[in-house]
Amino acid sequence: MKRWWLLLVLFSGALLADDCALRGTGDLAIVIERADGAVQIVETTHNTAIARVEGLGDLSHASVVYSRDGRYAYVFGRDGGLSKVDLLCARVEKRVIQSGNSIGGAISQDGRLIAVSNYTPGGVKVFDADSLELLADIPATWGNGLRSKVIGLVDAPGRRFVFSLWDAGEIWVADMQDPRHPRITRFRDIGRNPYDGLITPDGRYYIAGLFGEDGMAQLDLWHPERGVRRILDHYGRGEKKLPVYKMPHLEGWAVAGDRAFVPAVGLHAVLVIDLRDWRELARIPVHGQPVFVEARPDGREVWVNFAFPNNEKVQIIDVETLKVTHTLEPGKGVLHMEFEPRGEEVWISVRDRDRVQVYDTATHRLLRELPARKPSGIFMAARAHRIGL
Amino acid sequence: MWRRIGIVASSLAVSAALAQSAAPSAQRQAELESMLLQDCGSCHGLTLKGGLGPALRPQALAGKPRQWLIDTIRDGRPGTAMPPWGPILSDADIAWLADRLLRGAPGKEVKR
Amino acid sequence: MKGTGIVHLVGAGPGDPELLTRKAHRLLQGADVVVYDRLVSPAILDEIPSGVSRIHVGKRSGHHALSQDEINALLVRLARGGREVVRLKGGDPFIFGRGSEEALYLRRHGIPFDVVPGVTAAAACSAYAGVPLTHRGLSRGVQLVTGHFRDDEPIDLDWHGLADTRSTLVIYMGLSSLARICRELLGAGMPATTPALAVQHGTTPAQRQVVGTVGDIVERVEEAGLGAPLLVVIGETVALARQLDWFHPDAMAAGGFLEEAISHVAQDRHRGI
Repeated sequence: MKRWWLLLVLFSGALLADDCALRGTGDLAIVIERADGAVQIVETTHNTAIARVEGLGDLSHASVVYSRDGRYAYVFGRDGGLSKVDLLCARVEKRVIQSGNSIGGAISQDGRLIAVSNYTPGGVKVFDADSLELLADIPATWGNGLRSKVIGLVDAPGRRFVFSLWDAGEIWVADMQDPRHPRITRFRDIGRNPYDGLITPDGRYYIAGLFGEDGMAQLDLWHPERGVRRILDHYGRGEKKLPVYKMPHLEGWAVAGDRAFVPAVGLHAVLVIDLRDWRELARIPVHGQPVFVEARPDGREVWVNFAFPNNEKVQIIDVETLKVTHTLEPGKGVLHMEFEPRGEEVWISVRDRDRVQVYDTATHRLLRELPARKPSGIFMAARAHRIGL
Repeated sequence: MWRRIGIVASSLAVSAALAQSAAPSAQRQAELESMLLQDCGSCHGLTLKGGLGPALRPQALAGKPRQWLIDTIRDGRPGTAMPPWGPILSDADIAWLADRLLRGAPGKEVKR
Repeated sequence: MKGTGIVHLVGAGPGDPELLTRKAHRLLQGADVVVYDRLVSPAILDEIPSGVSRIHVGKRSGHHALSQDEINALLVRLARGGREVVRLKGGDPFIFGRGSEEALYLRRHGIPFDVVPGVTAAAACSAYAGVPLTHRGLSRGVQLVTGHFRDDEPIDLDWHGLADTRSTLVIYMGLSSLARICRELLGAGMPATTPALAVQHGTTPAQRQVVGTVGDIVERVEEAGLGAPLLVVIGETVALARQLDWFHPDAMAAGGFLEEAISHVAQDRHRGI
């Protein structure tokens, strides 16, 4: 009797793995379990875990982009691994180790190319999204025969990839019309040590945050001939910067109306940019140094998490009053937050508690907790249809 | 030359750490180990193989004097993304971390 | 005047004649003969009264008009002839100027001398490029080295000490060995992003400069076609050049080597964005 049950369980498991789930992926998400080299596949309609996929290597600082059909997740690992995960079958479809040390990736506008940005050796590699065949290798060479670490890689309209060179202080635009022969436009002297980049949801502006000096570098992709201009370069002037124990992220773009919200480097503040003239409109004091600053999809609130040693809290900013209205305390090691596509719930990874939490964004109440081992990034499959994600 | 100094320095470092009376408690050591992998790891890689910051495995640190490591952890590296940890960690914590880096992972290191 | 003359070891400063000290200027007016080398700018030579004899002992790397021994001997000979000699040197005579070697030789031969300091290139060229050598919180010291080495000579410097970004590093005559120096500094752990400045003909109407990093300053010097004499400053304070840049000898001086993109950054900066 017991045996029969066991067989049934095994069989149904096998059935799922072989035949794969018949369902859409629009409400699925991936949670990175950074210490285990694994990801969980979760669904956000009932907020349950549906599968776990292992064997993805070193996932510290992992990120994910999705195929346009939402079925495949491309997982970029720290160890240079690029894995194509089938969400429906819950398995690794393909996997290549494409460099010694990588940091992130992007999928092209047409969904056919996957680009990976690498630290070692510094550069970008471009792969065919179906086969993961290497199509182009773009070494980030600069100066006197040096290679720069590459960060802030995003896709841009016109089948382009845009990225920044940490060491060189440059922004490069790679035109991939001919994927085997990228055409590179270099923008030099954009500022010191760009640490991350983002592209506005309309795909027009690429912004790189600067670690080595105040401000951000902005490139108008409608008018690359106008070059890169500096924005917000006075925000930290004369202030004593705090030590930065964790680099902020610019992924996503917290835009609410005419205002954009970005982390201040080395300050306990969120900067508010007036998008009409790209000037600093306000500076909101917060609990710690911001890491992710994300707008709820309806733009009414901005949620912020913080760097070590203040990473136990999440604060919520009201975009009308520009004040912190709520402070949540999920626990030590809040690493990431991801809104569901229409924003009614937000998923928060709490590394040191081995939990992923789901909050109702209207009431700010905790709805559910799911176990996850050292969770970090959370990536909704709805990213498949958004520029720059 | 450097290599030779490094070996001497690291063996000295181990004995100095053993002799040190103010070594962190076992619980503190566990916290530091976790911090090393999770927080230092956010720049140096969870496996300390390097990322935005350089690799911190013993082979990569061969030749670096212990005091240099201690100074780097405590004061950071100006002009780089390495912050000073002195405001957060005690001297004993920092010395323990430096020795831990020079020695390498304990036996039960996460395999990967 | 009979008997033994005197040798004034005078620093001519970096090039701008207004940076000549009053004492240097006075001594030039009263000199019988001026012995000068190649690094003294034409504008300063114009300050020498027309009746004064001039002897050019100019040196050019590898190609000396007179050897140092010959210069030493010349100074002694002139002074023994009872003349008041101004030994005029670019910058400061005691900073990479070999003025102290000449002074020792004069002392050995019983020739009276005095020393008139000049504004050295490290101070002058960096100031004219908008770069302070020290700045609270950025640099707590300055290290001066010369980049002038014979080709086969190993550069025997304390690279780990020089690579310390908490102090500013100034390299005199840095052109020929700049690539080597940058490589050594990177090898000693200096971050490739450490700001670097190269200035040619500092403080003169011909001043040209580029700002980059220790990772790319060689490339930028080549792109800009900068030549000797080149002063290189490496350190965090160089980052202030963007804000403190004030000396524009003419509108063309800054042009011609930066990409278009950069000039847009600069324009936006001037608009205060």
